[in-house]
Amino acid sequence: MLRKRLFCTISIFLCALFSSKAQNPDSLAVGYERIVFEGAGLAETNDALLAKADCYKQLGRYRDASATLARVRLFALSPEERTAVQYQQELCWFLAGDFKQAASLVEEVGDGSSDALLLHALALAYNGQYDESEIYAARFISWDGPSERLPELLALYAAHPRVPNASTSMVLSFFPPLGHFYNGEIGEGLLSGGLNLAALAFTVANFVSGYWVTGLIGGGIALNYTFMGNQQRTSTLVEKHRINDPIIFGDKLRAFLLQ
Amino acid sequence: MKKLAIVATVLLACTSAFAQKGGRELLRNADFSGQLIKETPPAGANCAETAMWSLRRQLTGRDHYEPANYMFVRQAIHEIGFIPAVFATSDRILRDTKIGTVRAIVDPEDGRIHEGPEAYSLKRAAARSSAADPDPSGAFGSRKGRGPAGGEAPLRGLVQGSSAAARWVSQDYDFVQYLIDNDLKQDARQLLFGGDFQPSDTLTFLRGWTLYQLKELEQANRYLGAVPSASAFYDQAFFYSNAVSAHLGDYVSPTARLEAYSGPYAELKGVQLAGLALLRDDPEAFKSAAGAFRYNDFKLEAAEHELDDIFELRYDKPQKSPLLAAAASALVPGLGKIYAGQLGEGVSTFLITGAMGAITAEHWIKDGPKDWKTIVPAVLTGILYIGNIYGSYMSVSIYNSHLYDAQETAVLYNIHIPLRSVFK
Repeated sequence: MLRKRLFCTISIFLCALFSSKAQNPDSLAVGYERIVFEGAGLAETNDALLAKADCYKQLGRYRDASATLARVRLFALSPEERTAVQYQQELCWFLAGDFKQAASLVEEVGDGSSDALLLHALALAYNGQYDESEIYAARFISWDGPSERLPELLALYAAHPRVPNASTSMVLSFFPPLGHFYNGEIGEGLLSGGLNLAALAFTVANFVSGYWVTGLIGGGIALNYTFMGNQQRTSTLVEKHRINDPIIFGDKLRAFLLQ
Repeated sequence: MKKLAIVATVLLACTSAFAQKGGRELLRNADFSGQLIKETPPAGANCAETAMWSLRRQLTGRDHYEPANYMFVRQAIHEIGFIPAVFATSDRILRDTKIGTVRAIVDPEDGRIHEGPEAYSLKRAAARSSAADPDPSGAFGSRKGRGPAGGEAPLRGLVQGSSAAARWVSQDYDFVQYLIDNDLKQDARQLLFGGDFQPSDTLTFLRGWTLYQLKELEQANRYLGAVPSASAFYDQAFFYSNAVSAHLGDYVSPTARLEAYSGPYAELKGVQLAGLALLRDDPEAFKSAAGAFRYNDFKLEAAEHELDDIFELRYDKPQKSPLLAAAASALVPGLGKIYAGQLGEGVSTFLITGAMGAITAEHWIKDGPKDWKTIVPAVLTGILYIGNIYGSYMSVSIYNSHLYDAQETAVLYNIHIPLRSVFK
């Protein structure tokens, strides 16, 4: 029974493979999934899943490729094969833009090839782990021996963006425009500082002139907008830098390493 | 057998090796710019609006409303006229605070309240109260992707001719189910639309079912609706097709189809008919359809009670009066909004209008009524006060709109979800 089933599976797959429609990676992916469905042996299942992930890679569906690779039964693979699969998984997570997932695979993939070192350096840099990334990047460019580009690489890392600290930023935002300045936004900081100063001046001027209600209510409302708005904006800036800076730095590093 | 397996494995490996694109090339070509947080002024903003956008970021950090107030003014003048636009904008300013937006329904995608000038359109409010079919283009809770059911686009595959190599899809039924159950719906789609299958009822159903799973409702509806009554999948396709039609905003044709249905699912027919009657705002049709409710089938019982509750809330309880809301807000700013069920908006309106009133009073007492320092806050207070009355009048319509939309969503849910248990 099992022999017959496997025979059917392979026949269907071979038909699918050589039919004109099978040139389409989408169709091929379904053909490979059929092998998994038919309950082929571990090795065949793994091969089918790897081939299916490859189809997804060709289609640019990297998240699906990663999910397919996650289904590969790693225990049935040799250590070298396992590393190769995990490298592909890390690569797919990275290409899918999920840098955290990619960085989580760095230790499992290891450092056995220059491709792995390159990928680790990029995955860690895009994930904001600059120090760890620097080690892999340095090893990557020195893979074939000492490199003249090492000082340049070190200079690039020396200028890596600082990860803004949300707590420090919040504390500084109580003293407008220090929160903005901390996040590197000088122009916005000056505007925010000016608005806060104007609201404060309005309040004080009204109190001095004896307009207590206007000073208290009008000034209170104005300061509420300028002061609270400054705090809100500061926290938005932290989030913006936290997400954008590693990507901008990663793009520079990628261009440098892949020269 | 082993030889065959080895051949297949080698072929797989070869295909894989040939197909493999270089990792470095992929890394080089990767583009992550879509992940960057980009801050750009709203599309179509003029210089003044761009300046306001820039200022607004410093004053509140973020906009609660979409479109933001500075974009709303121009749109409102264009859509509802100058004077209503002034009062509508002032009402919006009164509501656009943390307190005012505390209970607002926000869009989960951008965290903003989507409310355009049409919310202040009296025509829309009138249409809402008398329409047989709720307005699908409204700003409140309008569902994305809605559109007319049916259409003229040809059904791919339904008219596909058979070929010598074509197989019957029933041979692959289990595989399709496996793909759907394992969240490999795109693979199922590829198989059903790319495979060389003989045309059959099963193929039509499976295509419709897969598209339904992929939430491609318009296409799914065409396939599900094309399953003939002789098919074993007819009942499932029929009831799902009705639910999908309702989701697409078509309440009339599924009602007609259900009325002609004489199959074994009489109670389910009653539930869908009752739901569609509520969606069409037809209380008599609801009462007639609800006669089929038995309240003893656990698969349908919850939906039956829910539909009864919606009916009671909509037709058996007195509706709120816009005039009463306006009068209440004339007496105490914000009170009409509280009457309309918008506590946060009412409190926000009261605080801001009250504050402006107090500032005006202080200047009136100290500088006299003719001083510019009195006139400026007095004019602003007046505009806010009238905006508050106008907004309270409209807030009842807005409240009813929200209520209708929430009920509509609940009705759609209740004519849809029980199908999963019934046709499990």
